[in-house]
Amino acid sequence: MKRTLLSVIIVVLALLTYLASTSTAVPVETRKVFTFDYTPQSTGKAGSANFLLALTTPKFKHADNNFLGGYNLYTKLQESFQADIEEMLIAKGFNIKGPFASYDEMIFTDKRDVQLLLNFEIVPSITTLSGGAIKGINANKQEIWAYKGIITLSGKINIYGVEPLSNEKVYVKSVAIPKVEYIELDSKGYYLNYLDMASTLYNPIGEAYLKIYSHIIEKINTQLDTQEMFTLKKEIKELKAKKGY
Amino acid sequence: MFLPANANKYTIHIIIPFFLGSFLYILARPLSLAVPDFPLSFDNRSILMVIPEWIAYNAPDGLWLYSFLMWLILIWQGQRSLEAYLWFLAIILLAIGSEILQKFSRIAGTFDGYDLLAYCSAVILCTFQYYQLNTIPQ
Repeated sequence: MKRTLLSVIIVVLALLTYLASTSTAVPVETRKVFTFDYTPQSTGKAGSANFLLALTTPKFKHADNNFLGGYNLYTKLQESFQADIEEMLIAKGFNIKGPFASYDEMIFTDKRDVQLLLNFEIVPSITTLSGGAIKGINANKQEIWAYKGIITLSGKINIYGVEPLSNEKVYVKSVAIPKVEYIELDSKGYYLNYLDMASTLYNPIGEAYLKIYSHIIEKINTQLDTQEMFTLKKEIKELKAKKGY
Repeated sequence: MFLPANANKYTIHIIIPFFLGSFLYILARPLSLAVPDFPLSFDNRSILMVIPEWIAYNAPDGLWLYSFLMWLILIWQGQRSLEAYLWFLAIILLAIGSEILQKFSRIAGTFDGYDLLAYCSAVILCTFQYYQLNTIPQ
């Protein structure tokens, strides 16, 4: 009887060992919906600057593709950024055309009428302070991925303006993205799919961008000075004249 | 296999293989993820690089099976009854059967031929030990 009881215990222990060593999938964290929004503090009379600007769609240089490859945090950021820059420029009294997907999308009459085409290039930079991505092999010898580390988010936004007919640069600015330090990233487990692992980092990175978003637009607002734009009028006129307009 | 006269059979054949298997199993996973707030600077990723794959992934299975079978052998002390054989068979079927069921996708996990080899080695070693232990005067 004692032997039978001990045998039952052994079989149960063996079963528990088997169950414990069989890896179970870690659920992928639900991605939050981030709303990036900026409201200009001062609003001028529409068109009061008497200056016609065109915009191209802001471009993101994916410096942190390793974290978010294939996920649309940047698409969301890009759309909000585009809408808020437009809103900010209108509030400054500028007239706006576009946004155009690229310079080549502009037709001749747009190039002729527009005084300055503004392009925005967002260059995020992620510095890993400690840790990083971990590639492993699970008990079933499948490649698995995890991430545990601390990062800092910074970067810059390059703004350059061209006279559309000649496509010559007349305005160049670089605005630093405020630093967000000590962002803790933890995938909290292994993932068979690298993108599922990257998806778990979406929320902390999105929150970091949310924290600095309005500061970025505010900095651009300060840099894009109406008076400075007016000083370019003479140069723009000369460049258009060179093209016979 | 030679057994020192003062060696505790339970320690040698059950406790050591079981904990060695568990130790290897844990070592095969980065500690920073297995243990919350484990300092990254003390992580075991450098150890993982030098452990041969079969030790990290197959040896624990074999060691665990060996430990459980030897426990049964020591409990039943060479008794050749139907009940004893059925208990051995239950453990062997649980290990080898689960691997075969994985092969046919009947249960979670991926079939690994080396796991099967580790289980078979454990069964052969236990059979050998069974005869050794029952022929050595106790």
